[in-house]
Amino acid sequence: MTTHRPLPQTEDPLYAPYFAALKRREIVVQHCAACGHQQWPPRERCFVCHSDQLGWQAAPQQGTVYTYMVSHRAFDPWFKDRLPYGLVVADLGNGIRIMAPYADTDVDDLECGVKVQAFFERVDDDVTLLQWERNPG
Amino acid sequence: MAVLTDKAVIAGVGETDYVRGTTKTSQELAFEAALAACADAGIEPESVDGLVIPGRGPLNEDFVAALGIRDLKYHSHVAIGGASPVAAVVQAAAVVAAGLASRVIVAAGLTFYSGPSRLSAQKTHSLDAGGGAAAMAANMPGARMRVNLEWPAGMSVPMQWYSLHANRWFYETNADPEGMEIVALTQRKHAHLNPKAFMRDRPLSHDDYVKAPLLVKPFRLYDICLETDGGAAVLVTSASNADKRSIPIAGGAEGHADVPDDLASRPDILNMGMTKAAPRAFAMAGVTRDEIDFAEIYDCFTFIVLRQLEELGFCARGEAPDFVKGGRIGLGGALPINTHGGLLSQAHVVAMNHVVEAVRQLRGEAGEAQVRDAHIGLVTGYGDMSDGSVVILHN
Repeated sequence: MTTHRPLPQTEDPLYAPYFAALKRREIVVQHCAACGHQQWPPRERCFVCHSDQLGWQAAPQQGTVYTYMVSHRAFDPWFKDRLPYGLVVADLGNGIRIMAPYADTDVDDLECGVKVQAFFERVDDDVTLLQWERNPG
Repeated sequence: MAVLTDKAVIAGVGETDYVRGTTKTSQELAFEAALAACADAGIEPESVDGLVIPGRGPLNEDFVAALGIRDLKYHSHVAIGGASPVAAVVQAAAVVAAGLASRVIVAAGLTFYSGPSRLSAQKTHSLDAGGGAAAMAANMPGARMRVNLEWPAGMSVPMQWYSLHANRWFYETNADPEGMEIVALTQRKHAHLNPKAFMRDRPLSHDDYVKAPLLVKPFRLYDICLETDGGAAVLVTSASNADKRSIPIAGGAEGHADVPDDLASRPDILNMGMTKAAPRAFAMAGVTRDEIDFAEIYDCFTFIVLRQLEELGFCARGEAPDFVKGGRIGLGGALPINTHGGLLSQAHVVAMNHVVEAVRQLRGEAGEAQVRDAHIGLVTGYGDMSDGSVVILHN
């Protein structure tokens, strides 16, 4: 029996530019045309000046683990064969933190402060997902 | 001291049985508890004229039908997850103090075990099938963030979200992990004294605790609240016609973390709703931390009890594991907490049961778990992505 993998709604208008950028191996975050504020996750309005003139700007592809999760239990069947698995909240600077799966299967040394870099997982023609992997540099 | 201080009282409390396995709906459990609260207060249910309803249901019309309410003057819903019941009690006090209504029911019914959101079921529900984690998420804020960023990454349930907070807390403060075990074992001992506690007859030892499976780092099984079925309710009325069993509401507050729907993006994940709510509540009630005789602290996780003790101001960040050592939070200690067993060992009634227990303590009706000379009690709620609420009661 195959289990269905939980995938994002890449057509969601609020998130579509982000998922389109991942296919180009880019990370983009919202950028306010009125005041220059960058924000993530995407919202309807700029948090600082409340403008709705929100565009998109490339964000760094390296960061530092602000916090993380290591799950030993699956709450969706797709993750059962992948236990234990990690997730990283990577701090990219400029107030931007992006959550994504931890690419490494060895989760024992995952800790706050670890340097990570983007890994782009091509799922199929329509979907590429971001992961964070340990930055060996 | 504020406008609402001692203007309203909790005049009645009610609880259903706390069980695993029920044919009743969450709505029916809420009605049963509400009717019990009216009976406890000695009022006719038809005379209730206000409803502050924790969560997204039941609707006010359903309560009107179940209680036979003749003239509903005020209603609202408070939807901040586990912080809702305590925030609803504060709002009920404000409604009474403002004269909008004089007999206000706050009632919650939960079917965490028998309903669709149960996570301990044998079968793991897929997220797209709507059960388990997806059923729980239906009551959460930030739905698009959940679906687009968290579910594909394998994050979909509270023990996973809360681990983000816990792991950062341990990293920043070097807090002693043993504090979590002290909370779990202390509350289980309290549950042995409570006739309603689901874990009344189930001892929990150090060995049981450390041998239990690690579900999500750093949470072992007994760091996580129970899944049970049950309802609890209180009736808030005007202080002007209070009797001796009525417990005055001294003050309270709710608070919301920065970026309240997203743990990852908030500037400091250790700042939570309680960080903002606690100073407001103490100021409103006109009491100090030293004057609190006991506390019923929202305990979806052992570590959340520790974090709240810190943000409430009982100790500094990272020091709660030391604060809870030496029996301080047990009955007979300086600050007994969760004297009924809490969500960890009594039942998960989103802290509506914590409010009921606080009233029992202040009435002197807590039986074997009675705190001696209990005059001022504090109750907290904690919900969604770190919303906080607190109410201070006295006799």
